[in-house]
Amino acid sequence: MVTLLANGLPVLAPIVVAALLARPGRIRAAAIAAAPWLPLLLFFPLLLHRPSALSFALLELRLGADPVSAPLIVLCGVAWSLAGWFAAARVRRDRVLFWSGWLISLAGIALALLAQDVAGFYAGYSALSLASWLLIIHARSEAARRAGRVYLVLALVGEMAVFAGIVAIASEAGNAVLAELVDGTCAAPGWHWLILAGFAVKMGILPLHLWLPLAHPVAPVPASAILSGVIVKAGLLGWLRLVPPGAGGSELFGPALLALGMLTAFAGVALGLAQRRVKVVLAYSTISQMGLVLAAYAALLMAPASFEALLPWLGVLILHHGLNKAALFLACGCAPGRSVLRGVLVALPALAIAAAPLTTGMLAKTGLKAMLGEAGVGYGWTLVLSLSSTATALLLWHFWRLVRQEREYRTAHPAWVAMTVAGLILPWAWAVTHGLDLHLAGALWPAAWPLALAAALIASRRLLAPKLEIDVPAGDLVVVLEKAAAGLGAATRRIAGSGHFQIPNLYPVHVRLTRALLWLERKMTSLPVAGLLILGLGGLLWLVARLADF
Amino acid sequence: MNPAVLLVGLVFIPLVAALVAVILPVRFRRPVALLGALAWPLLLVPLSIAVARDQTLTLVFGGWTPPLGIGWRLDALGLVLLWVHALAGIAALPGAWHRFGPKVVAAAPFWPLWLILSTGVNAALLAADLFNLYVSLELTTLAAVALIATDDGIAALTAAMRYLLLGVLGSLMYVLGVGLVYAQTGSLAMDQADAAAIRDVALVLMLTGLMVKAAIFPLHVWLPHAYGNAPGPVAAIMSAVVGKVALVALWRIWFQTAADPPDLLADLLGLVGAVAIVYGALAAYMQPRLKMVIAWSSISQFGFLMLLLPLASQTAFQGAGFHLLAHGLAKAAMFLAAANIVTVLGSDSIRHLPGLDKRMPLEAFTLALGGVTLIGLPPSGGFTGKWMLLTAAWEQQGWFWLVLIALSGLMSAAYVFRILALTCFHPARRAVHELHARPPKITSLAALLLALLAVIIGLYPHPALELLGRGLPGGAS
Amino acid sequence: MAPWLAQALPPAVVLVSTLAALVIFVAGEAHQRLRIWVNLIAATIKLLLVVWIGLAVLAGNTFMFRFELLPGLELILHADALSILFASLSAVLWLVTTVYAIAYLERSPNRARFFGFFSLCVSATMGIAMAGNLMTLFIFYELLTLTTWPLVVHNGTPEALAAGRSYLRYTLTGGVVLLVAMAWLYGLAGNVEFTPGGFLAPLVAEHRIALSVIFAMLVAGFGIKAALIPLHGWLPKAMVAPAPVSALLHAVAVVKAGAFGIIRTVEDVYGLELVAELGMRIPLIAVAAWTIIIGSLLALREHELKRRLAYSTVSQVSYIVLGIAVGGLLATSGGMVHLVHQGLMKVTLFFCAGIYGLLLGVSRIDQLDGLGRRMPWVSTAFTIAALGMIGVPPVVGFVSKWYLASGALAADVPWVVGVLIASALLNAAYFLPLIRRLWLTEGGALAEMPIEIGALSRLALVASAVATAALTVVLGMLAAHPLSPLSWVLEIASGYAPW
Repeated sequence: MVTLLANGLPVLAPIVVAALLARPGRIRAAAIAAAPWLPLLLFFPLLLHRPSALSFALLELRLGADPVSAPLIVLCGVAWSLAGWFAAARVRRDRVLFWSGWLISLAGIALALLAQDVAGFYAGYSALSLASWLLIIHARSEAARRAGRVYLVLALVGEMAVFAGIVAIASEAGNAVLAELVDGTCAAPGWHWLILAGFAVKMGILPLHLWLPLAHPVAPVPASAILSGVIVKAGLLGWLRLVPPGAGGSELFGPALLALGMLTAFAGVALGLAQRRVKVVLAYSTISQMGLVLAAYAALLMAPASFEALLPWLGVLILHHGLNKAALFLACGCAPGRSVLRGVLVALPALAIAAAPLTTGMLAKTGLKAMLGEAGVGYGWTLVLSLSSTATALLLWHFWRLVRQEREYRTAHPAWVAMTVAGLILPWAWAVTHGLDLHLAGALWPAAWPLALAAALIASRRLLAPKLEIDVPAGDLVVVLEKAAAGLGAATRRIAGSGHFQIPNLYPVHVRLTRALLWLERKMTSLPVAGLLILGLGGLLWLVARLADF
Repeated sequence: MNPAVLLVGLVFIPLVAALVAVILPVRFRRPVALLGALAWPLLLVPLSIAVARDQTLTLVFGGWTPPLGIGWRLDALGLVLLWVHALAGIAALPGAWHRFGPKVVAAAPFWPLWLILSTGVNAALLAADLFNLYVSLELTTLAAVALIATDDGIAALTAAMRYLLLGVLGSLMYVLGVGLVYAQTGSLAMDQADAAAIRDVALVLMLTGLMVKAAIFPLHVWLPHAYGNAPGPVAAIMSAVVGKVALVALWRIWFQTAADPPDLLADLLGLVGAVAIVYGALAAYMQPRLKMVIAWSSISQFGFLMLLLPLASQTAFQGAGFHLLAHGLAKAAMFLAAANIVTVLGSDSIRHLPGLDKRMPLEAFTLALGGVTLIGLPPSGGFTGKWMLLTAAWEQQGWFWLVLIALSGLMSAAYVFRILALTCFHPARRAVHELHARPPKITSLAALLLALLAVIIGLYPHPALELLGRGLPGGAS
Repeated sequence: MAPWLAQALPPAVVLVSTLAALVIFVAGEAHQRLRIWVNLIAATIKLLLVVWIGLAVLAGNTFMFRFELLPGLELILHADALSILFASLSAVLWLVTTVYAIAYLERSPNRARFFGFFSLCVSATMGIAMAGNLMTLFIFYELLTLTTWPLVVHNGTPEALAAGRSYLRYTLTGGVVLLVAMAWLYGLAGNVEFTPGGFLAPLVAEHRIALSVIFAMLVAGFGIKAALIPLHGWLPKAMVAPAPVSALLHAVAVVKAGAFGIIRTVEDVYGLELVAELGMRIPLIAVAAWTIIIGSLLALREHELKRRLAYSTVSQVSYIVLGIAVGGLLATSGGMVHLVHQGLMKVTLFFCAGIYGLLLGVSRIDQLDGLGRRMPWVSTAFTIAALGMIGVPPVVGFVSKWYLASGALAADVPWVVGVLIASALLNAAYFLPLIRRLWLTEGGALAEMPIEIGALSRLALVASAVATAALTVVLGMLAAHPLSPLSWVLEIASGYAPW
């Protein structure tokens, strides 16, 4: 019972609190006050570490924390709470809408994290997808609506791809227990592609990244923080859950995914450098970083035997990016340009993301290299990985220059500070508690030279091409697609015409028929005609009778 | 005692009552007629038992045996139609009682005529030879013509006149045919020894004559106006039995007298019936008056009965016979309801129907129930008949008939639901001006009971089907 | 169980509401209180009876009532698990819809007529559920046509009358097609009861073509009520009827009767294996798939709320046919359970649409703006049901889709998954904008309609919508519970020959 309560509470509590929002006045105020701290409930199942099966719920729901979800649970518990704290103070408009979106998203991600069966996971994941839409459109501006539209279309399509994949699993194994999928008995590789692509939408992998640069600038600051810090990583969880390393044939995807991940890492930077708004730049940075996460996942696919061993490294990567990125987003709402101290607080996570020496970023890169090494890919990939740090550094420099201009008066919120500190500490703590071999000394130089290269590039660009400015609209490809869709819509309307397509009436009642019949009846009623008819029919009958005789 | 003796009562009770009624002063005619009309149906109970046991009852007068003698015969088909006659007649009595009170001028001829009509119908159903049949049918027609004319409208008079002329023409053709048969074979019996002699001219003359009387399209032209303008009770009894008596005669001649008629002729007659079904239904859909709708519906439904000729199997006979029963009850009920509506509104124009379900719910319900049987929706008597005919069509792989029977329900639905929609749901729920006093409730209840009966027999059709399952008309198998 | 009870209970279930109808008709318009009580008591009794029978069936009892209608033609009422599924759906929804309808029609005329036919309609539905052979099914199917028509034309407006005409044209034609098919079938096979797995297999060698044609006719005949495209024309038109009627048409009785007929035809008359052998399985799947997609596209085009919901029904009901045609344990369960699930969701949607229309005069979609704030309970119910239609877990729609899609893969028709996904996306495309308008768009100030509705009635309206919405969530969350419709249906489906 206690186990069940501990495992179920993180999912149920947000829903109950969301329902309380419906009553205005004191109850609503209390609900909003409690809401930020609900993610902490996620630590119960993590600490308890005992699964429970609810044979009557959903399609035999199983709940519980496991090593795969553990880093995400920690990230969610910390980042979501701190962002909630921030939101409780800062979000003033449409609070019911915001908090219902917030809480349902939380319930969704909690279920996705804790579910140990396919249907349960999917249920949580899709609740998360839909509810985060509410966070994106919160501003209700035209831009927000557009972002919401793009997000929703992509999210739904992605979800459906995932759905197709999981029913492929279900068609063989019913509502499978996730842990059993590793055996690789379920679902043919063709379906794996669908699952991977579906979750890639959430991750913002090229070319499914379109929603991220649109959504982040319009969402409220704390919502952007969790979107970029936590929610995108639900996609990674999906990959790990449904196409775990070792699942039948999945190692074949490795090289392609690795290449795609690296491509995303660089493309994200390239597109981000052409942006002029802080949060858009951060969004592209997230895309770029998720490219690296994809690369890590691809490496794990190629080395299924070492999956268990490498899992803590993946945890480092997740915690590092999640917390630091959330901190950077929160910074956007705290006028970081106003003082040196604030500047430092922005610079720390930024450096971490750029993988500067001794930051958590360096730790994450070490982990990545370990994974690539286990996967047995060539040295070239490691070099590419280092170069990606250079690219990231360039992007964050761009970010830094933009963010320092944010000087409009706003107080700094303690949640921001807390998040930054958490980003500094937690990945290290994770690494240490999991007994990882940190290679500190050996990691310094590989972390340092890409940064130096970046610094050189920045300096030379200032000298050589001070006026090189390219503008790419936020969301890049989406603009083209929107135009194409509008054109297609207009074309269809032209072809189909505005007239309604009608199923033809099966019973045309002809007025003419009526008239003819009435006329006929009038004629027949006159006695001479009637007499003739009698004779005629009699004659006909006689004729037929004669005919039949022959 | 030989139960066949009771057959005498079926004919003579109404006849004697009619004679008595004629002698008595006008104010006594009504009760006497009532007694007579209620008395003869009582005989049906022992007769039914006897028929159920012995199949057919035969009564021969004066020791003359057929082919020369005059005899009466009661078979299953006759019994079924006698029951329809009895039930529809009794149900029509309250309405007639109310309408033809002693102060009404038309009451003087009405009551004796009513009894004579019953005499004619019963005699025609019992007739075992061709000439006897002719006399009975003639009696029936003349009584019916006179009864139609008891309505005081000019339209009824014209209709009665047209009916008279065409009816007489039909009778003439029939009797001409009978004469030819007699000339060829020297016998008037229904079962002709020398069946081969009954061909061509004689058969065609008899058939055509009976088709005029049965109002089979295109020889139906007298019917809509006659039924549509006759007083309610008269229309009820006419639609329930008078037309059908001629049809039963037609069946008998077809199956009994003209043994082995050509298939081609059967198909042609079936086709005529098919046209009647469609044409009648279409016309019914377009009528501007309630009673005309019901009358036209009869033309459509009579066409149904012609399908027995091409199908010609035991199952088909069961179906057609049952249809006869169900349709008779339902149609009589609808005419009685319509009669009450006319009494109250002074008109049966469908423009006056909206809102009627509030004023006269029993009548509206009767129309609905009767309509259900006409369409042949389950579970109703109409459905049973239709189902048996369908089965028969299937047994003979007669796809055309099968589809036709199935579709006929749809066509009936068109006119039935048109009336129901107007009565109960039309937006112009104008206030109905009650021009006349409402007839007593028993008239409404009688109609309703009749309609209910038409539905209920669909739930328990066994006795009738069992009776009808013993052989084709005349015992041919 | 006593033998007489086993005989008496199935007809009793049917007759309870017939009796109620009689009392209502006879009592007339004036006795409102009596009418309400009769309605509620009859609905409750019926529900209890169905539950009783259901539990008894679960315990292994059999119920059978026979009555020889014609020589060789029996009226059979029985109760197997499938009957109970449909009967319990109808019984539950009848109760809720009655409460809703009493409140909805509080001030409108002709209520005796309305509730009388309403009860008769449920009688016919129960008859369909309990029918033990095709003939019985057909009889009640026709009765259903008859008793729903007065409800469709209840308002008496010219549009209502036109809708009624259209309804009759379609459904009576369907009846005729069924009649011919049945006569044919009875000629071939005689009077045979529903048999799991079908009873026609021995005839296939001799009558292959005939059986195929009959199958097509049966599907077409039932398909008219099940609104398979292009036989769906009556359904959107029938939307002019009052909201409780729409709920009845779409969720409780009519459309479901058609789908149920197809289930019986495929599973208990032919058997899916025979259907496949006749080469009719893939066409049936294709028709269902086509209806699902085209129905959704047509829904997308509508700007009247109720019409959009109607096309959504067209699309959703075909899920049932799809599941049955695909076959196998998973898909069959998915199809059958959608019978219940779609009913609950759609009834909720129509309840809500009815409330919007009655209280605020809302009929077009663009009038929904900002209603979430004005009617939070109703709008929440609407939102939940709409999300369920899209297939969002944990609402019941998800469970159906899960089983349908995985069943399609298990039965080797993977393209069906594509159809389901396209349908889900289309559902999202026509439902999400409604949800957005409800909650996220500022609304103009719509005046209350001048109809006075008592506080109690208002409560009843909202409560029925909320209750059904809650049920959609609860049943979805407890789908694996042994007493859930899903478990029940899995039990049924495992009884049919695996495809």
